Amino acid sequence: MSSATQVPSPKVRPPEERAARRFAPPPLVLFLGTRLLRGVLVMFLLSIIAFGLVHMLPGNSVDLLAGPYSTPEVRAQLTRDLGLDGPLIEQYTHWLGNVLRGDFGISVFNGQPVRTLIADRLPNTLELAIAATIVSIAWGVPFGAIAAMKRGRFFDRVARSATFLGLATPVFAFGVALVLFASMVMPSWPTLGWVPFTADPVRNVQALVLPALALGLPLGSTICRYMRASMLEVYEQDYMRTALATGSTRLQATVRHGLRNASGPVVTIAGLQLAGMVGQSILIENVFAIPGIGQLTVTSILQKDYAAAQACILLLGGVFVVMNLVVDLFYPLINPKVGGLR
Amino acid sequence: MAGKRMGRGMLGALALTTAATLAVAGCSGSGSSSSGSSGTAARGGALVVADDSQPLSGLDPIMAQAFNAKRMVAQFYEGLLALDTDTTTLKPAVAESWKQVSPTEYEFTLRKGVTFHDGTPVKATDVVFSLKRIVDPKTHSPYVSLYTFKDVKAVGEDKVTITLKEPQASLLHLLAQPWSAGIVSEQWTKSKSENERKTQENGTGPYKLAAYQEGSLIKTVKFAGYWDKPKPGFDAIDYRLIPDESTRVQALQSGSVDMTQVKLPKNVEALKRRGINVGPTHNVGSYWLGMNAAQGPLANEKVRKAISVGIDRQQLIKIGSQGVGELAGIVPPADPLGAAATADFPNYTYNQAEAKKLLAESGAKDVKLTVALQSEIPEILPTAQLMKQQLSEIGIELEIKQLPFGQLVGNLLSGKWNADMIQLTAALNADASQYLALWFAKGIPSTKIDDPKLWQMMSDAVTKAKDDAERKRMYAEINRYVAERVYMVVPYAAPIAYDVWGPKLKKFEADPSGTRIFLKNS
Repeated sequence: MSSATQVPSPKVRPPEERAARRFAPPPLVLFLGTRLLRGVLVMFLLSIIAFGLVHMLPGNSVDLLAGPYSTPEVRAQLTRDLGLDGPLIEQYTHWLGNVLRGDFGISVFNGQPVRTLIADRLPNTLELAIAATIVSIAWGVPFGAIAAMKRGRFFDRVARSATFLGLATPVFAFGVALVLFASMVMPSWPTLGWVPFTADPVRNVQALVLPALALGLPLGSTICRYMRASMLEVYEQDYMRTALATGSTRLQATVRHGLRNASGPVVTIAGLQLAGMVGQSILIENVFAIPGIGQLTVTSILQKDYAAAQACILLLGGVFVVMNLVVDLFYPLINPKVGGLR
Repeated sequence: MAGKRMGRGMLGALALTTAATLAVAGCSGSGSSSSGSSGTAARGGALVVADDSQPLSGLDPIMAQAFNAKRMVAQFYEGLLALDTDTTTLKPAVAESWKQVSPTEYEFTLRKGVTFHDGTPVKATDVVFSLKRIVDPKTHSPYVSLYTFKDVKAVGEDKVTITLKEPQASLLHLLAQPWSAGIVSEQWTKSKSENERKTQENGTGPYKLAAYQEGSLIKTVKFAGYWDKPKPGFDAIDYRLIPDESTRVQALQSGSVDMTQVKLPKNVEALKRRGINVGPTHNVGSYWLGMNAAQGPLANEKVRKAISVGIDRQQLIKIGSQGVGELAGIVPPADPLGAAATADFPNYTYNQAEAKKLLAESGAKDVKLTVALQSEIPEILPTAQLMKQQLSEIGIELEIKQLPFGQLVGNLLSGKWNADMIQLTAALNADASQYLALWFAKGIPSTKIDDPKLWQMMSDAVTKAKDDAERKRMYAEINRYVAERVYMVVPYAAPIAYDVWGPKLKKFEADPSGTRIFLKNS
C-alpha cells in the first residue's frame, strides 16, 4: 500500500524523498522517528532551561531554609551540605545523570524524594484534568452543535454570549466564585478537603465536582466555538444537502453525518487542551486546595526547592511533548496524507 | 456508524456527568463530626484547622522559625519550661522546677512521668542532648547564636545544670519556647536521618502526629500519655492545607473548618460581622525600613532624619495599615519585651518644613532612593506608595522595587542590598535580641551601621539585665536610640495575622506569636 514513490508534493520534500528511497524505511517509521527524536531533543533542551532557570532565580534555598536570623557559618555549612557550593555545570551534569537513572533528588524542605512527591500528586492532577475535559466536552460539543443548528436564533445568541463570558473569565476568578456560590447554596458540600480516590471514592468525586466545573466550563467555551464553526462549515457540504433532500430531518442529518465530520478539529483542540490543562491546574489547585502537580510547582519555585522545581518543569514540558507526539500520531490517522500514509 | 457512536458517546458522557453530580449532591453533608456541647474546655471531638502552608523546615523543633513550622512543632514538642498565657510568666513543663545557682548557672529538676510519644521516659541525658544539639553547627539551627552555653550536664537521673559563658537574661524565655529549645529523645533523634525528622516527630507535647500527607493534610491525635492531664481537649486535630485566603475564609464560614489564620483586615471585619471569633490584635509586625547608612545618600544622618520627619506616620497608620497599626520602634510593641513608641520619640513628629531644612543642611542634591519590598505580601505596598508621595513633597524621589522574599533576604544577608532601604516586617521572634542582631549585629555583612554604643546597649540588654522588666526598659531605650539616629524608619507596627475560629473551639487564647501554643487548653 504505502510506497515512497507515492508521497505527494515532491517539490516540498525532495531530499527526504531521496533519503527514503535509498534506505527505504517505511514512511510512518520515518515520520514517528523524527518526531520522537525531536521530542528527546526538546526534553534535553528543557532540562538545561529548567536547571538554568531555577538556579538563576534570585534568592536561594539556603537563605530561606536558614532564615534571616541565621549566622553566616550556618548558611555556609548548609550550602556545603546541600551540595550547592560547586560550579553550576558540575551540579547540572550530576543532576542530569541522576535524572536519567530515575532519581530526581530529595526535596530540601520536607526531606522526601521528589519522585514520591510527584507520584503522590500526579494522579490528582490527571484526575482533575480528565474530569475537566469531560465537562468541557459535555457542554462544548452539544451546545456548539445545537447553536450551529439554530444559527442566528435565541439559543445561538445565548450560547455565544456564554462562550464569550467563558473565554473572558480567568479560571481562578471563576473558581473563587464557585466556592462562594457553593458555600452559600450548599454549605454542607465538601468544597475543600481533597481525598484520594483510593481512600474514599465518594468524597473524592464530591471534591472533584467544583474544580472540574471551574476548569472545564471556561475551556469548554473554546470547544463550543470550534464545534459551532465546524458544524456551520459541514452544513455547507453536498452530503448534508443530499441527506436533507432525501428526507432526513435537520437533527437526523446532524447526528448521522454532521457530528463526525465536524469533530475532527474539536478532537485536536480537546487533546491539546488536556496538556494545557495541567498548566491551568496550577491556578485551580491553589483555590481548591488540591495537592496536585500545579501546587507543587508553585510552592517549589517560590521556596527555591531546586530538585522539586526542576522535576516539575521537566514534567510539565514532558506532558506537552508527549501530547504533541500523540496528536502527531493522530494526524496520519485523521488525514492519511500526513506522514505519507495513503 | 462512527458518527452515531460519537453522538451517543457525547450524550452518554453528558448524562453520566449530570447523574454523577446529582448522585454526589444527594449524599453531601454526610461527613460526621462530633460536637461538644458543654462550655468547658476539655471535651473530646475533632478539630479541623486550615493552614496556608505546611512546615517549611519540617517538624524538627529547633529548625522551625517560620510561622508554618513553629505552629506545628508547638503541638508536638515542649521545652523545659513553658509560657503562661500572658506570654511572659514562666511555668514548669518538662522540668518540674528550676533555680538559678549563680548568675551563670542554672539547675533544672525534671518532672517525673514525662514520656516521649514513643513511650520512652524523658531522661536527663535527653535534655543534655537536646540543648547541645542546638549549638552544634552541624544541626544548622537558626537559634545557635542565641545561646552562650559553657556546659550542659546531667547531674543524676533527674537533674540538669546549665553553665553559661556570661550572664544571659534571655535564657529562661528561650527554654520556654518549643522551637528554640524543644526537648527531643536522644535515641530516637540519632536513629532518624535529618530528612526523616522533617516528616516524623517524637516529642512530649499534647498532640502527636498520626499522618503527614505532604501537600494536603497533617493529622494529629491526642497524646494519651501527656503529663498535664486532662489536657489536651480534643481527641484529634487535622491541619488541612488551603493556600488561598479567600478559600480559607469560605471554609470557615461554611463550617468545613473550625479554625484558621487570616491576614487581610477586610476579611477580619467580614468574619466578625458573621459572628466568627477573632483573636486580639497583636501588633507584632513592625514595618521595618532598614537604612543603608554605610553608603549612598543615607550615609548622611541629616538625610535619614529628613525622611523620618518627612513622613506622616498618622496618615500611614490610617491608610497604609488600614487603621489597625500603632506607633512603634524596631522591637515591636506586642513582643513581651517590646513597647509602643510614643509621639515624643525623636524624629517621629511630622514636620515638612523641618524635613526640607534638614535636607538643605545635608548638602545632598536630587536625592533619589530605592526601597526593596517583599513581593509576596501585597498589603505592604500601599504604605510604601504613600511614603513615596509624602517624600516627593520634601524633594526626595523614592523608587519602589518588589522582590521575592528569598531574594530580599539573600540581598540583606549578603550585604549587597542593591537598594537604599530594605523593607521587612517583624514577626514575634524567639528573643527580642534577634530583631536587633538581624540589622545591627557587629561584624556581619548585612549590618550597615558602625556604632559601638548601640552594640554595647544590645549586649547589655542580654547579659546585664536582671529581669524582664529591666530588659523591657533597655529595649525601649534602644528603640529610642535607633529612632534618634534613624538607623531604621518604622512607620508603624500592625498585626501580621489574626487567629479566627468557629464555635467548636472554646476558651482559646490566641498568642502574639500566632503559633497556637495555648491550643492544648481548649
